[in-house]
Amino acid sequence: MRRPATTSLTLAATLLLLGCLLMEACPGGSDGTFISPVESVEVFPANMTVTCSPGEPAEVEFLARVTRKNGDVEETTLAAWETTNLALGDIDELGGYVSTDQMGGITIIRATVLGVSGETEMTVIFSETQVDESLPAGVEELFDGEAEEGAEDAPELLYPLDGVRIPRNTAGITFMWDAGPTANLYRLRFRSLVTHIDVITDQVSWEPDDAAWRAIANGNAGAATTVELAGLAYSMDGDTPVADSAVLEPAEPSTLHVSRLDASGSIYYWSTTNVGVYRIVFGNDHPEAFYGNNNYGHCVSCHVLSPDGTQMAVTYEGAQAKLGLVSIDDPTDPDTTVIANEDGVQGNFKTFSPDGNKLLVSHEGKLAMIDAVAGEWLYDIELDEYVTMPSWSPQGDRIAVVLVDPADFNYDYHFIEGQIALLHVDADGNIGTEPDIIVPREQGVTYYYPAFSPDGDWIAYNRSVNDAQDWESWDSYDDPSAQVRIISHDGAVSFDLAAANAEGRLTNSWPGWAPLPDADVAWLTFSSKRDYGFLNVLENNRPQIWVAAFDLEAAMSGEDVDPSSPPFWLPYQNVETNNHIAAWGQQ
Amino acid sequence: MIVQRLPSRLPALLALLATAWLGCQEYAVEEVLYTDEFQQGSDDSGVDILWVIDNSGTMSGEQQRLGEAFEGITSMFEDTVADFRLGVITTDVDDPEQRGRLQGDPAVLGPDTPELAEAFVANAAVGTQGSKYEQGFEALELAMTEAAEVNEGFFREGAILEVVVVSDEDDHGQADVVSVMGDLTGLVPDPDRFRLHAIVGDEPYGCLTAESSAEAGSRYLAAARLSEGFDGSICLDDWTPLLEEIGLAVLGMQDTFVLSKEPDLDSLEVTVDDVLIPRRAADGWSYDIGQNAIVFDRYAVPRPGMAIKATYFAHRG
Repeated sequence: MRRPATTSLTLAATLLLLGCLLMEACPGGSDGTFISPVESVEVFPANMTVTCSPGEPAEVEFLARVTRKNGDVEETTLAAWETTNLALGDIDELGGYVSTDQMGGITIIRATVLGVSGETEMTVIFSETQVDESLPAGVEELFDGEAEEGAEDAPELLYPLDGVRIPRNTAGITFMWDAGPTANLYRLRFRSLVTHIDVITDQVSWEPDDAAWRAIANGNAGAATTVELAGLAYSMDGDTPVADSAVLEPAEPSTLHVSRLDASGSIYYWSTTNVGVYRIVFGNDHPEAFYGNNNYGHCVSCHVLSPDGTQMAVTYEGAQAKLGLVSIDDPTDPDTTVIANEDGVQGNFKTFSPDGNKLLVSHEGKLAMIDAVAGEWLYDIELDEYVTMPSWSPQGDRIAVVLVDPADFNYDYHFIEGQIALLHVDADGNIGTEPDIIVPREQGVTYYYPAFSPDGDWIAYNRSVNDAQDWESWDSYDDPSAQVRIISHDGAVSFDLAAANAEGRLTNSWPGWAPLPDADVAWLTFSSKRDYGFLNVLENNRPQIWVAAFDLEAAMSGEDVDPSSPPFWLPYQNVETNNHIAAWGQQ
Repeated sequence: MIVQRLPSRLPALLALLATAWLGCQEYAVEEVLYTDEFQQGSDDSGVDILWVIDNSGTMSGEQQRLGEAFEGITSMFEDTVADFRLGVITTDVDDPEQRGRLQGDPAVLGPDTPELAEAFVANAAVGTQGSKYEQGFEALELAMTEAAEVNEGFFREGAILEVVVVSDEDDHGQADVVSVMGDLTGLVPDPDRFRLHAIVGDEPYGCLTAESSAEAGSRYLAAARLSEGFDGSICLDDWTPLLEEIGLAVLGMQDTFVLSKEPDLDSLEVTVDDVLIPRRAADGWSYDIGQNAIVFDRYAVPRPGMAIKATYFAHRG
């Protein structure tokens, strides 16, 4: 042990001879506990805002200003340093902070000295300007010129939709815009408290690479980012780009919300064009043919997943025809494929029991219970009205169905003036035949496609109206007026979902749910014939899969709010095909 | 108490002698020699360690990290003399099969459990199908009330109760944390021997990793502070150090020993059973100025019963 120069062990040993003991004289507690000599700790620099860029992390040297109880003040790096946002950067034992160069964010810097802590907040802004390599040097500076806000010939952002909410781990979001009549150079600007990204391009779309999307999504998870699009006309004067117009800006920027939580699982959708079920693992960059003509020789239509996502029931070779059960792990394995049709069982719409052991199917206005393990018919269920489109609650105690007057019934998928009802299931699994109506029949209106949310609290369903005054355009099948709605499981609260549906005859149909991630947002899938930027437009009459956020906390607050957000197009689905029935499974 | 501090009389003696000596000297003694003595403890009255694990949809990765970290500290449990119980409940109070009921088979793990690590990892993999309205406090209360009969054999009279909450969301209960902890303290076998530890999202904004995110677990963190438990970030890549800290504590041991004075670091020496231990991050000890403590590396943590001495010069007053 090295001895401090100002003391002497010899001296101490000598003084032992004096032999008195008064514990109270010690600075610590009489029981030996430590009483900190520190009154307060402050961290400097306080409330810093710094900037990082790719290859250039932000670096800050922090100091702790320690005020002792005896009035002494010292500034030191000797402290226990912490940073709360571990994804944003790290701080070393001497207060040296180095941020990531990939994203912005906010963190708390905390210093603890001898049991007393002080802290400050630090904001790291991620700043980057991406300029297309094909553009002349200095072209980005043209946007420093005079701006014309609300210009009539300003470019217009077409996609993503203003106000959209997107899971953090969504890949493949492509920003698309209408060029406007004059502009030939564009700046897409992302702004938030922690993000300053400019993209300069002469193209009319931009798909962020992984790093760019992470900078936008991770830095702003749970928050909003504004997306500002500006354009201008430019030309070259020799080697120098010159502006031929003011900077043309729309009146209002768009807003992009990134959900705090990732989405997971796989989405299985039916393509009527390529005739089969396709699967997109959420976050992956391509769909794969899962089941259908391409790999099993069947024309597959309606499909539904078991609650645990391990099985899929399919109807094939016609909408009201054969019924099959396939394993998700290997749909082509005949050993795991049960074709109930061998016993003559047919079915159009179907739903699994919560344990996956039973399958309830509708066929020609009746329900049939199937043993989902053996693939055998068990019994039929008939009600006073025709019944179709069952959806079993995750608790197993209720089944949402559509009831239709036989006079208004054509096929299981084709009828008018349906109403939504609940059938009750007793503890022994017996299904009652006295339904409770939760969305009653209305003249000139058809309700259909009920779907229980994974927590059983909500039921999504479709509504179409006789707005064109002809039978063919207001039924339950491919109706342009179709909109998605949600009602609470007890029928007490319902929502029109104006933001998700948008205005117009968009054929928003066949809602489904993602496995619930957590308490804040549920993801609602549906097919819609709406513009996806300029890649698929309403006039194509081509349905595609869209995903809208359903804000569960907002929904709990009552009917005066719209808990939905404008939807996003499910990335990587085939934009050239008609896509329906997105079943979102856990696997 | 599970870890004993044995206040040395030497520092006070030296201080007073120095005071007396001052009376006949013209200059002040600035530093005196102190020795803090500790004994590594272990609790032979038993410790019941209840893990309250979030089983909502976003917890897959976190449960995996918990399992990996536990496997890294299994030797602690295998080597201890403490009579411990390990049990797992979930934050789901909606599912009748959850609601404070111990999960797994066997649900109660202890020193005699074969393949302890595998058994705990299996029990802790509670899945991701639980309620999205996580209520860890209510689940804990239910474990000792509604589910007490089902959980028979876990909570023992006279044993310490250590609760470890693992969640990426805050508790969704409404009652204030002080009253919640008051209610829980009224239920536990020994109110003076109950702590809650929190592995949750950081305050104030939560935390983020490449694969996941967590909101701030403010209610759990408040409970940890109230019960003098540990807390740690659920966003850490490696939970091993955190579980080591918690594991040591719940087994009546510790790797951190707070000094009674602010030491002159150059003079600080540490012995364990009179063997000088080097000051180095690996296989030795380090000084933590934040806690004014010596902290042993995971491989150098003294065994139960060992005597730890820290000798150093420090300013008087």
